[in-house]
Amino acid sequence: MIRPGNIFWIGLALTLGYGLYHLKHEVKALEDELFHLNRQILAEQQAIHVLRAEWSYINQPQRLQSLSQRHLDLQPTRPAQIGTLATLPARPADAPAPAIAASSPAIPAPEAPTLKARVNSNAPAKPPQAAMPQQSAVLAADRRETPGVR
Amino acid sequence: MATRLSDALRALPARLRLEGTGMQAMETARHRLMVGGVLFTVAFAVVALRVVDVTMLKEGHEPRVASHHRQTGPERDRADIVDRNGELLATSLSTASLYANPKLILDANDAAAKLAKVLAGTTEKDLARRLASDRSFVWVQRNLSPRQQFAVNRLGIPGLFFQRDERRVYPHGALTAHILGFTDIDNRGLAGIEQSYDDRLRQVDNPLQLTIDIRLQHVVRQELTASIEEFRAIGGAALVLDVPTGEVLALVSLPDFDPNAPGAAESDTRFNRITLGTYEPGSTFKIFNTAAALDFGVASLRDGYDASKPIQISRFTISDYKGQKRWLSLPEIIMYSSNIGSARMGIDLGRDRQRQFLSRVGVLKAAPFDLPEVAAPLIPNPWRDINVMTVAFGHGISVTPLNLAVGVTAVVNGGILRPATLVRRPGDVTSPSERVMTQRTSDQMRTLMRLVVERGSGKAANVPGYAVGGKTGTAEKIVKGRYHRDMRISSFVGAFPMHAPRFVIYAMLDEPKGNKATHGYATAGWVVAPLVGRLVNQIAAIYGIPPVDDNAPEFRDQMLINVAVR
Repeated sequence: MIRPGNIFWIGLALTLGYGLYHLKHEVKALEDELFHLNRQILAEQQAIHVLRAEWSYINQPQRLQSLSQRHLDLQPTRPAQIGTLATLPARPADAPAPAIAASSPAIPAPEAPTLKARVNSNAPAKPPQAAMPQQSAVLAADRRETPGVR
Repeated sequence: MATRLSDALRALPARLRLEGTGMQAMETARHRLMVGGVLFTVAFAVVALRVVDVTMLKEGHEPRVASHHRQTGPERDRADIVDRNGELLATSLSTASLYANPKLILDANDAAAKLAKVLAGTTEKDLARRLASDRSFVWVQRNLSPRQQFAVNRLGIPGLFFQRDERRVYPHGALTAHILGFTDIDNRGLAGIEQSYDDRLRQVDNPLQLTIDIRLQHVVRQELTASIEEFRAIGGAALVLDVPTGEVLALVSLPDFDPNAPGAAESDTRFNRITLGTYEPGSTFKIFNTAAALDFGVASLRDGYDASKPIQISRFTISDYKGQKRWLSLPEIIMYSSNIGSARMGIDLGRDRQRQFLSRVGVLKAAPFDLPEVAAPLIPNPWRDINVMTVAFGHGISVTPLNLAVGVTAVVNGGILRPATLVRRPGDVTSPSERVMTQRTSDQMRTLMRLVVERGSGKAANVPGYAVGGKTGTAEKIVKGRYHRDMRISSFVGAFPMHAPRFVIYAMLDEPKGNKATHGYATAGWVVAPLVGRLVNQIAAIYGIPPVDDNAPEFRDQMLINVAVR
């Protein structure tokens, strides 16, 4: 004497049971994947860490200097080579535009007055602080002075 | 079933009427069923609501259990150390360490023979002894390379196990040896920053930032090495301080060692001359003596002292190295580095005031510093009149180069004493500071120090455009209680640019020997001043400091000084 109601309840129970079972397996698979991803992330972080140490090792100033001496024609910066915009002499107002400006279409003609205005405006002599130290530092660290330069 | 039963119960009265006690029992049963039904309904409703809450309403995020797998970074016992630009100076790398359970090892001798072939630095005899012991844990070797680990695995000896270990690595090797120090096999700091910041490095994960600039450190070490070789010195040291903050930008002590293998280093290479070495400062101390005289108003720039003949006191004679044999003005005393003039100035100043001033600039006690290796100065006790005279020109007292450089920083920066630091503080935290002399004294001292480099003994340190100022100092070493004429400590302490000092530089050579280029002289003016000149050049290049015109009126006026009055 199986009633339709009973069939409904039994069916519901079976469906739910299967659904739960399936969900559980899916979650388990996802957890496994998460675990492996985390493991992988850790391994990558470890590798990055080792590479950072190696990067620092191959960036020894001593080594960079010998490399630069072997491959580059650079010498340590001398004080006379360091300057700011303000130390540049002002261009005469009625001077003809330099040939390079005239011939190159990339540089518009009114360039000259702007430069003059900047120099004349007596703006505080501000060297490009942000970029300069690093740049010249790398150069300085990488080169040994040749005896003749001193 | 429950519904059907209640139906039946509800249906009962229709067919069957009970009277009296029977009816009462029926009523009770009904009430009880009702109460039970309500209870169950409420319980299931709560469960249902909770299920809805947990599965649908709770933000739907991952259960907490899963996050236990997650870790923010690789497991590490000790934080990194970086320089002021973030360059890595010290880090910890994971390695494998090999240990054995001798109880599980079948044939100790055979295992030892095989292992000794694979592991460099072990002997078969020693291994056999350890593997045959009756403990259940012995280290075989710590920190194996991956290659060694593979080789050991391939041997397939039972009873050997690996454990994850860590090894401190210093990518820059000897360059920062005296600053960083080193750790023992268990990664406990034994020297330098590793020791003084041991707790910080263990507990906090983010890197410890130092004030050192590795580029400058390299340049200083290289130039110092060149000078040591040139003058066949047995050692040397150099220190560069940032004047506004008191931060140490470079600290070099030579000879040095490789902190990656501190055990192999000879003990004298581990000696940090800057913080542990106490040396007679020689004439560099005249800076403090003169500053004291100016600060207490004992002498002014227009005064002077008779330096025509040596001073005889008990069995000592105080004479000048290159005597002018006449009355000298105060600027001349500094310029020619006159011992006689300084001694007389010291007498005028008096014992108490001299002592008080030296104590104020911090040269009478160990300088507070971020390294554990700091020596205390050797000061005369009792402080007699003869000591007053010798201390005036830097003899009969021994201080560390750190003491001297920090004191000179206070002299040139406007009179504010600030302890030197090696660890970068956050931008808004300034180290404690105190005024130790007037601004006026500091201004006058800067002109005097500039004078020494412009026209006096420190000419070789001059770099056009950077207004270098400073003072040379040459002190004979004491051997068996007597000054030895051929063994000197030649030093220079200076700053630049003198109209607004940014860097204080100290450099020292231990037992330099003169050569042809210096006409046989090994005094500071000949051997150390040129080194400082080269350092100024390099520092200016690294930090991109534009040179100024030395003869520009605004600087000229500031540095102007009347040398001779009579």
